Amino acid sequence: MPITGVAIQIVPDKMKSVYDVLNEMKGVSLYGDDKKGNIIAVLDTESKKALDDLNQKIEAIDGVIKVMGVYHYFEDDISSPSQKENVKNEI
Amino acid sequence: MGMKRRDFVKTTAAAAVASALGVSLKIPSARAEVPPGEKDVDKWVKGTCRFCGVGCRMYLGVKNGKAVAVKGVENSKTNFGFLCMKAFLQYKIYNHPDRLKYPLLRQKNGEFKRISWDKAMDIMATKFAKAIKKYGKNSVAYYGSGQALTEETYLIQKIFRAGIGNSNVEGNPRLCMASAVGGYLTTFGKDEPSGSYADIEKATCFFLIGTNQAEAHPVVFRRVMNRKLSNPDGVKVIVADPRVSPTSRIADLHMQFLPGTDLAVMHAMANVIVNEGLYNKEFVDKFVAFKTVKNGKPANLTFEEYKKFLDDFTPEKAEKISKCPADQIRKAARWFAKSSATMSMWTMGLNQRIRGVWANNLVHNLHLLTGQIGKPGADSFSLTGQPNACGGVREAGGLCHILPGHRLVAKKAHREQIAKIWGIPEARLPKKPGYHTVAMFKALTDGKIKAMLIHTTNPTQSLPNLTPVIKGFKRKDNFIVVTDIFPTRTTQLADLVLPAAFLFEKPGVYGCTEHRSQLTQKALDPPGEAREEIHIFREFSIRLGKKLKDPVFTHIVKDLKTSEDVWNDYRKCTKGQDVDLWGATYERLRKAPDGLQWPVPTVTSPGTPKRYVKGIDPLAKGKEWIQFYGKPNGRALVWARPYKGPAEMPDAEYPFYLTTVRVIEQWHTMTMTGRVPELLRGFPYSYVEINPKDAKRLGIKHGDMIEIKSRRGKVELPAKIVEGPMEGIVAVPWHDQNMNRMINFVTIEAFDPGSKEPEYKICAVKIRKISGPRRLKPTTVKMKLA
Repeated sequence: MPITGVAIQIVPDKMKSVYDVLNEMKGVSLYGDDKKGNIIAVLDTESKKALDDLNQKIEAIDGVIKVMGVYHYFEDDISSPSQKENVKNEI
Repeated sequence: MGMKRRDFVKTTAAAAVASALGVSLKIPSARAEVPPGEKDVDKWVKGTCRFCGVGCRMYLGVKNGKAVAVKGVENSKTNFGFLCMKAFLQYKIYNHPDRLKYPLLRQKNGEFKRISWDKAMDIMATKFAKAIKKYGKNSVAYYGSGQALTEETYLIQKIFRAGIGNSNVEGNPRLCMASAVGGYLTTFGKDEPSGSYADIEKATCFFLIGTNQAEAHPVVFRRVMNRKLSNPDGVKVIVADPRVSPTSRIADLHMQFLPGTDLAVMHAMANVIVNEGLYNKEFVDKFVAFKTVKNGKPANLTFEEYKKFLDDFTPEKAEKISKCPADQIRKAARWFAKSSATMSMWTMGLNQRIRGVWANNLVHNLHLLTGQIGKPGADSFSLTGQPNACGGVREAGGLCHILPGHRLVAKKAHREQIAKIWGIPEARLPKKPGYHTVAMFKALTDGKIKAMLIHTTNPTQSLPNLTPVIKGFKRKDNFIVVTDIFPTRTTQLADLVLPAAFLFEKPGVYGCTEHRSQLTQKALDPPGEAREEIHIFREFSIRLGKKLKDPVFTHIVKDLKTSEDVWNDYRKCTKGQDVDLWGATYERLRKAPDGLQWPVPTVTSPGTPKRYVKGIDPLAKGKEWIQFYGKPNGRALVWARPYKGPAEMPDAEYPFYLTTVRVIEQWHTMTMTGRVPELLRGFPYSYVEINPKDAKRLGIKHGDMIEIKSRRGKVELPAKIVEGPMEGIVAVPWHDQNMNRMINFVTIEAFDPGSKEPEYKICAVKIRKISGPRRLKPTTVKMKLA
């Protein structure tokens, strides 16, 4: 269950509309902004995959330029890496 | 995790973001309540991200001996606390089940068997000693990496040069930034940029050529984007690139031109600057000299002669060659020259060319003509692709022609200086450069190299024109040792595989793009029996010396037991050089949030954010405000380079340009990032970008399987129809490990005669649809164990 602190960079004149969308999103907590177009947000998700999906959903909001990470806590993250295909010595 | 603790960690996360943004956080009191004795980690350990050349500083949070958190170092001048997803997710590598944990020896049936370290080191030393005795010292070689620590590269090159006595010391930075080295040396007489990332916040014009930094250097791009957004009308962004990319999308002006025609475009910009009187006459008169090459030797030019040379490069003539509209060239030249501070940045688009050095010279020309260098916000700033290509390889002697401290193998005075520091006779050091990268692997294929050590890199996927390279690896009469953390295409072909430690599993220094050296401290133990490489190299030297009955091998490493010992040995080689790190002790590097920028001549020196500028650079000791002390009379050189196109042009048989590109989710050959599921999901396999007009003409639809064939090889990839590359160009990300999708079977090994860097960015191909869409899977290389 990772917890991730991010700065969401917004096109300045879309700040209000992006706030409105983010306020309705599950797993997103907002902590204000820097008055220069960056919103302070914490993403709290069930898994890394859910975090990845949430990240993509935020980046898809009209007016969001980029989501940049600063802090990532993953002590409870139990998802383990997997390989779909194991390729033997092909060369 | 309980709710209170969860709220606490969330507040901690928000505070970290607020700190990075430089604002104070308003936290509701319920959220601010900290459970008694609670903390998110036992300790935070400082280090540098490995997944590009920016040098982002990060903390790894450790709890009960395990990595549990990552955060950016908020007071670091490289990234101010911000990290990209690759940095965030690299913790998944530490305990990955695929990690190499034990030495593995190839058996006769091709499978690998676990052996002891003692046996592994004995076999390695025996094979190298046997090759040296039977075939001579030039029959052995080292091929390293811009991801190796400075201490690792420095130590192994010392063993090769002072011990073995050859200069067959190379590294993969030859493939990415050797042309930038050649450009800086020929223009300024000294390698590496003058300025820093801090110039980004002061620049009012960006000239981004041959760089998709939005994907390859995302944290730098964030700063450029912030600069633009904070002053949309006052800051201009020029992107010069044949392909539409996430970087070009913020451009005020996107100059698209045919691959390999950049020399014509930049000469034409210079033409406009000179003929419209936009050059800085005072700067040119005082600090610039003009050069050309006549009869194979550098020759002086006057400004008028240079101006006449530019007559061949009017914007209209350049348009005919490049397809870049003349009015765009004029506009770019005017913005570049008239801006209060112009900063250029570039990467592989200029460097991976058969005239990469000249292309670098031509960017520098524009800065020197306009005086856009030395002042805040103005610089000709080459971005480096790997975290330690600058620090470890360019500075510490990691290429076949250089010695530590920006010295040359071929210069007797430089050899004497190094021999004195190392306490050996100068005669032991090689007098000539060894094999450069392409020549080294040709020598392997030709049977001239009998024993080879490959460290932290994957040449059987990353070299151009792979088919003959792989033949060399398959020869039965050589012995190849590979150190790495995961199975790769290269470990598959090795004779002996040695498991190495990863970032934060060992201490050591990376030197990033802006001549900044930063220490990563050890936070975790490596898995299984994996070892720090400096211990592997030191033991190799001692054992090889015993086999060859040569005590020098022990003498040169006996006092180098820790990474700090090796760093201190290296510091001696930099003392008094332009890359002076004498004042950058481990003690200072441990404390600093973001290391130190050389020259750092004393332990009280603050470092040098702007080279050549009086009052900032301690080596600028003359009277003038800027002194290009690498060249006679302090004058940097504007070069009149002739036009030269790519090595292989499209023709009737192979009508398309192929260019290779990168994506944000993956790093190099995906051996690490391909094992992180979240990153793999973003980019599971390669594809070929095709311009919609070409796709329509050829009847290709999105997802169709396409064969891409050159004179050297072919691959099969799904089509991505996109307004990315210009008509007549196809673009392929080069990361994929699948044998049918590895684009380097197609690329060309032609290289720049100066820098020896191959022209990955351009070759001629034909494409054809072979089927409709197919279900593809990502590939992760495994090794077959006995």
